[in-house]
Amino acid sequence: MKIFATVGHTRFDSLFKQIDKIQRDEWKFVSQMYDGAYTPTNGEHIAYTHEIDTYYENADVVITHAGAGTVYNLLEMGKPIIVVANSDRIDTHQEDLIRYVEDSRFAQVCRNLDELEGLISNVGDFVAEKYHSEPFVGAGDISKALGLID
Amino acid sequence: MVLISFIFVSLVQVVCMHEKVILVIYGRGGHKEQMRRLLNELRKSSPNLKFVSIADVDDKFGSQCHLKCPEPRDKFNLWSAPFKLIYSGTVSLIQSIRLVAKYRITGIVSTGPGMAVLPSMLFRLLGKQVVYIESWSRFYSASLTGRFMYCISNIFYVQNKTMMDIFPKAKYTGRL
Repeated sequence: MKIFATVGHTRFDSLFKQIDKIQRDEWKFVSQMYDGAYTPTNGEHIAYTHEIDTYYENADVVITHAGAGTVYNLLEMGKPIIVVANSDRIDTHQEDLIRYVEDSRFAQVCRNLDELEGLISNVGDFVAEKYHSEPFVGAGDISKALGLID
Repeated sequence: MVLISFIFVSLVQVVCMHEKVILVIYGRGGHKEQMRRLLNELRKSSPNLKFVSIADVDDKFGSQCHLKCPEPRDKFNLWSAPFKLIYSGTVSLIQSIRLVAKYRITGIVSTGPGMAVLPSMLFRLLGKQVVYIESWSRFYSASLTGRFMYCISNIFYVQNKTMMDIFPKAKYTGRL
């Protein structure tokens, strides 16, 4: 199974340390790092790239931090994902999104990194709900308010 | 040669001041992605959209004039976080004054985070429009920036219906 791990534009060394604890020959990891101090040794690692969609497409499952931009893009692609709470951060900025994804069953979520290996094993059995959202319809009103159109 | 350069610069400034633009303010990561999507939507209703911008990342959206400010948040250090916010807010305030002096800006639209607060207060004092879009990752709790901008903005949007409980005067407008 090809597994791509992404942390977007944030630091999440604990995730990569956890991935290094996993020893399964059939799981091939590619890890996208940002500005963290820890370099994973399990599989390949890359820096953030604007071609990241190619890595998403090539993976069987994507392990992602709970950054909304990354999570929504992956859900819109219909990709199997595991959303991981970034325990290295001091804030709880990502908790709302994790709860939303979990309650809606759009993906598996991971709040405890010790559970990550089990969640990866469960990818084939987890049946995700199809992601949907109401489209944004405020552009006309914003254009009027800002005097862009009459 | 100096005289020609002066005339050229003056002409550019006259053109800039004549043309209506908006100021967009956004941060890295999801804030930037929301702004990318918002600009795409705004271009559908205003194909000749012109904007200037302040962000903590480089411009990839075609801004007329892009000013880079410091990142307003420290996600990993509790103690430095307030200082970074104040520093970033002050820099972006000065940058917005520079832009107001040079361009005919009708208003601000921001997808956060905190660097938008002080420029938005300035714009309200100048009688200009301020539009804020609360983060799409908020479902059950407000962001700190959102709480400030709810009081400052002319129009405050939320992208998830559940947020109407927290911001009852907000407008729900779907998700970017």
